[in-house]
Amino acid sequence: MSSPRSEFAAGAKDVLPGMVGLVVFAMITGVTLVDAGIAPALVVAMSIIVFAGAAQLAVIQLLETGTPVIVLLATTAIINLRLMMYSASLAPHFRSVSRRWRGLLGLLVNDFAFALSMTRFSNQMKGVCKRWYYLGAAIPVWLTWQAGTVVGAFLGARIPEGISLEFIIPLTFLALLFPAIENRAGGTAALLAGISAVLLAALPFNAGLVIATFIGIFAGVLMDRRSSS
Amino acid sequence: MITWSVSALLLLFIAMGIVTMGERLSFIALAGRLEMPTNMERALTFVAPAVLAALVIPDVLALTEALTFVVSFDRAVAFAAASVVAWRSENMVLTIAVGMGVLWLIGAV
Repeated sequence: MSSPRSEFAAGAKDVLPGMVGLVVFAMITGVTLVDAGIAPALVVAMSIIVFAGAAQLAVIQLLETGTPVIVLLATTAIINLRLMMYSASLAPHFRSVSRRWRGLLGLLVNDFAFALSMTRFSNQMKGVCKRWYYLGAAIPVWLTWQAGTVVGAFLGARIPEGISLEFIIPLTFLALLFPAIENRAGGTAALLAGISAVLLAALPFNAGLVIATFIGIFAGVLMDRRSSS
Repeated sequence: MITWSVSALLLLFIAMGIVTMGERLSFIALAGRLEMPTNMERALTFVAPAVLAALVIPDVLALTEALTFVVSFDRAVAFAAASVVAWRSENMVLTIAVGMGVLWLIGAV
């Protein structure tokens, strides 16, 4: 019988290998932002306030070319739209949780905690156990992101050029992908989303990512209906 | 080089933060009040595989103007090997180790 504490430990244990890739990503982000002309302390502040690597990088890139603020915010919204999808997927599992807790859980939403939680959660699990598993996964992500940013921002130039070290990042997401595919419909969703993402990669503001996700979901739903009819 | 002042940048970051926090909190914050239709709950179960695939695949495959798939050979092989490991073992450490290992091996040969 699992307890909140054991679930927290399980979440932390499951997320730990992913933190290797994330810390690399965070360091790269820190270095890149400082190189773009943002003071290290501000870079750290950005990571705390925004806590979203892809958006942080994209916006700073656009800043350099004098993009208007409204576009910067729209870009942020689109790149992070998947966070809203995560919120929607996780919400039913946290229905029994108090409003204050839901605030904390919501603020920590990220790719890792989402993927691991969705794979782990079942209808049999108690609400309190789900909450602690999620926190076990989400808190290390937040900590790692901040720590990596600090290292990258303040030690930037001295980080050795890894032998394609950033390849760890797609590998990490790959490792999250397969457990998330639970049946043929899920596999279909992944396949269609992946293909669409490649075909739509040229779209601005990461819009390709969002559209590809919707295509994948749609394909999964269709396959799902076919399987159950 | 970015010429914005510290306060301007901070304001921008806070605005980005508000947008992002809004997206993060959205459904979770309303969880108690809204009843989600079953269809939508079912569809949401496909968010994870779809999003993860959409994030990962473009890192390995890319379309060029000639409509051919450009693949970094090293990465493609490493990725394929890692995929098999990920599929069979569902073990993150192993997947990353094999992926990086194969990449380095190919690069060293």
